[in-house]
Amino acid sequence: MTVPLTELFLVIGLSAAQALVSATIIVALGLLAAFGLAPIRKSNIKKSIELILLAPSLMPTLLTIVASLDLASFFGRFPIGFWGVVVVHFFVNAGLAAVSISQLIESRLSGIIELGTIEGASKFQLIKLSVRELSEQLRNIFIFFFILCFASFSIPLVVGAQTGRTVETLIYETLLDHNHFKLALFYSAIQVALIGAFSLFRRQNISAPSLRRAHPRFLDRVSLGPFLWALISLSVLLVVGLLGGTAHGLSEFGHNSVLLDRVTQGALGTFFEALSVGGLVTIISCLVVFLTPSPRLHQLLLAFSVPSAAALGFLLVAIFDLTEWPDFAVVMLISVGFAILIFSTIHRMRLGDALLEIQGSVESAQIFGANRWLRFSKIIWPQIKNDIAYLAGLSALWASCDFAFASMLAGRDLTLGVTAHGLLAGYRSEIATIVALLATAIGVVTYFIFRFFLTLELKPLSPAPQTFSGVSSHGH
Amino acid sequence: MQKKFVFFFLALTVLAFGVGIGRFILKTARNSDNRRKLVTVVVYAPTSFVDSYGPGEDLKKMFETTCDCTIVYVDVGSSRLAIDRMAFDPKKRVDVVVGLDLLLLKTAATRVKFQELNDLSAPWQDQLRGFSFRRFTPYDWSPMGFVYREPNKDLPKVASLEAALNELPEKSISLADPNSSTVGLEWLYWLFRTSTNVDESLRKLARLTYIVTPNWSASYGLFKKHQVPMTFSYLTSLLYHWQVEKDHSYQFMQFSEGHPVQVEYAAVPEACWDCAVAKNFVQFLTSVEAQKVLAQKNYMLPAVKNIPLDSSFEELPKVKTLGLEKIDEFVTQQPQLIEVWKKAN
Repeated sequence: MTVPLTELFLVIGLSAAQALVSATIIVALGLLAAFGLAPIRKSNIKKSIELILLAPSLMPTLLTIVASLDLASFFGRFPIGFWGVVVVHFFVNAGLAAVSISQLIESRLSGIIELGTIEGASKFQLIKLSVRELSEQLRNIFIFFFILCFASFSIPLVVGAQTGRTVETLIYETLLDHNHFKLALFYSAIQVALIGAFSLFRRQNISAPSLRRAHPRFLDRVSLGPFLWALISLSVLLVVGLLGGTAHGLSEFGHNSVLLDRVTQGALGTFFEALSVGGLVTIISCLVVFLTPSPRLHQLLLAFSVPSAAALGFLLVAIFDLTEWPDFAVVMLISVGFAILIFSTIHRMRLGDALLEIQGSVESAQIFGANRWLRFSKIIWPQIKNDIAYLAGLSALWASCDFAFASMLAGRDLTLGVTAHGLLAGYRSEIATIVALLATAIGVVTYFIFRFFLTLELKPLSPAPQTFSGVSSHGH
Repeated sequence: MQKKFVFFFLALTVLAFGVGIGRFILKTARNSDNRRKLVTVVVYAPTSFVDSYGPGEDLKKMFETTCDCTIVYVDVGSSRLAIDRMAFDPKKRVDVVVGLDLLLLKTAATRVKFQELNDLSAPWQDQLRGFSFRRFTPYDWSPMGFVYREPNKDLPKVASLEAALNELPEKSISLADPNSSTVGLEWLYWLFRTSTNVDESLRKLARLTYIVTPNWSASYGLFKKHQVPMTFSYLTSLLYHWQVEKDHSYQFMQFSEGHPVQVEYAAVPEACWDCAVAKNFVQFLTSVEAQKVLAQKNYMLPAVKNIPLDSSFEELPKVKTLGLEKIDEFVTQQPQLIEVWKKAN
């Protein structure tokens, strides 16, 4: 096996440079928009805005790419290559960054902003102070987006050309062009090692969040509304761009019984896949949580990264003869593969930090003699169930919109993602958009199912002891 | 109250989907049993063949009435991936592979062993004379070239590929990547076959290129979304716009040098399980009924003469096509040509 080292180093350099620029822009502009989002008081309006901001990162990537190209074209010709990848990465991820940072602002800046306001600090001073206070978390968010952009696949594949290549596209090209499976696995190993190395830059000892959330009245002092509205407009334009031309697609549904049949079957397959992926992520998360505190496991998970979606897909297809498998078993295999692929991202995104935040209380319980089960059920689970519910829901949502990995394994229209992919391969992109939107809708339902059921309070059957009314958990 | 309502709604949703999933599991388990009971023909097919609008479903129904068998399609994405998968694990069950491109036949024959097919004496189209082989049967085809929309004042009228490379505006075309797409190989072959200086032609094409995508669908999608004024595609792409969208603004640039043709083939691997039925399926693809379905659902031209078709097929421009000359030479030089093209970009 001859390794073309020059090409490999060139692609690693391009990937790293692109990821650095992408992550910097995403986090910088996401931070500015987060200062506009955090002070919004009405919960329903805030949730709606969050959903709008998250929409580009939740839509199937290929459709988002097309919408991004449409949108970017308003300002001139789309810059194919390095800058094209950066632009689409920004379009897709800026909303996610804004929402994540906004949650941090609310949970961590209560004291500092209130104190600063009382001391008469200016808006600029307060923002500067806030950024300094959040520096540990921002660093981790930056590393998260850096790794996401470094290992990006679909976006550089379509808009990257020669200057926007990534290691992941190199793996794909190697698999497809030369069918050098060993070389592709070698590249995958290099990518895993690099991601592991990047993970070492994460801040490990994060302080616990404040017990109470910052009051929106004080957060108004650091509000940067225009940046938020700019980002909302961007998300809306992207979604509207996707919807363009779907009316024609809708009318096609009534005329094609094969399509209708496959969409019905695919909707069930998608729901099954989303539930399975969400369930698997919940189980794996619980297992990780159950073993907390375990610094070695934490380090391992931070460094862990699955070789590559393309390599894993090809490997699974090579190992199993899926032709004879019942459809639900194939969907289950897709779900297992997808959960494996996604878990490292989930851990880096939130679970790892959430566990670090409660590590102190877990260690205290351990010192007081609480066994592992007591620690899990009484200390860890109540504090972390919201995070797990969010991550399980998000995984389910991503799984329902996935078409790339599922298409490699399915071999037939088992999920809506695969159906949409098939339609995209022909002339029917408008119908593919509708099918993808349907998959997203199923994903949203599954998201709420996990958010709702995993956070249910299981009340004891005996009557609860009387409490003083009017005393909130914030309890001044 | 609000929480109870949400709980009730979600519980109802879960219940409804639960019942659906139960039926999904039972139905698919039953389907799987049926597959084992009958003679099964496993067909590796490209996505466009088996998608909801592709010809696969109709052909399956038609063929299954003629035999006590079941056709099981496996969507392998592309013919290139089909070859990779068969070469990677030759013992894996595959009875038929469809969608093999003319330019990939040599690679396919080198990496996978195929059986000789039934003797076909089909009246092939004149342009496909010499295009059928003992191990590979052509079932549809189309000339390829630049598709554009009229009117477009920025695109000058050009009558040859040479003039097109010199006179068409910069960054005006989307192309599929020859590394990953057979459509990409077609334009590379076109330049190789018709140019006196291929390197120079590749550099000129790089000037015209706005975007190179991993596959034809992404390249064509960008053209449809008005990101580029023209794209490299099938002559028969026009049929979709003319028939379905009733839009006749889509046109094809005809060049005096002639156009490459994409011919799609079916073949039966040496390691097939139900080989006799598999060969019958391949033969069936050249029947009048199957050719009609293939032409109308795959938006391609029939490989066999005298197939009754929609009038829009007649309206397609009659273009000069390239024969089989220099194909072997092209296949041998393909890696070097791709390198030259990469450098030119």
